[in-house]
Amino acid sequence: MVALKRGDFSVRLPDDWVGVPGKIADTLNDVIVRNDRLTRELERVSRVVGKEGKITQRAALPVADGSWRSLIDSVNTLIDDMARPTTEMARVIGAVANGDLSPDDGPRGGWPAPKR
Amino acid sequence: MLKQEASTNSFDPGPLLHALTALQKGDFAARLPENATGIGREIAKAFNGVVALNKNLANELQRVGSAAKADKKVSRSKKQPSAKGSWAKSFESVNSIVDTISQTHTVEARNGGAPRITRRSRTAENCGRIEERRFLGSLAR
Repeated sequence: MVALKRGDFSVRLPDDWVGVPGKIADTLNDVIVRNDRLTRELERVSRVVGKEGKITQRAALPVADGSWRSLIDSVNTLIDDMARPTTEMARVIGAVANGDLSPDDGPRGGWPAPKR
Repeated sequence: MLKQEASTNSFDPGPLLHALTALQKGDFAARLPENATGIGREIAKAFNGVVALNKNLANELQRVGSAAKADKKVSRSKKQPSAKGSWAKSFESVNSIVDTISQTHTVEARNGGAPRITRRSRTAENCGRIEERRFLGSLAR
């Protein structure tokens, strides 16, 4: 537990204990695995989305409930917000390139009107 | 080892199992009372520290997520003195994403949108170049 608190997500309790200590070991090991996966997932999305520009990538945990799910949802909300200007820009430019010059409200009220 | 420690310090593992199960299910409010003595107190302090770090991380992500959603300025996470090792990596990843968002919206503002985030970093500069290339590529197509 102390190692986990210090940020060592490689520690595990033995998996051959029985009874209540066995249940504690299994549960603690599962919590450590979740934290380890979360850290790796945050690192992955921050790398592929932020540095490699793959804005369609999203974070995911195999089993996520309660606050674990909220954590992942928050990350994905952030990525959605970050990706929106680029995807909107591409969408509008694509529409204009195809000859569609009609007004477009878009998801947030559209782009500001061009200055004349 | 836990059995030995438990027997020598009269440690009741029941509350620990209960709290661990709550944490496993995503209850970041679960805490163990720290008024015990010996190993029980050490375990409680360590467990509460772990849950607090999970809670802080969740709060930080929620804070930046809400700010981004509401078009407010998104600032980097404050330094977390208790976050070490992989915890520190997690918080750094959050900051890296915040930097990317900041740079994205700076590029957006430069291209006609409304500016709302001004914080920048070396990492964000790289991201900005990616976004600009993507934008220019879209124009070329």
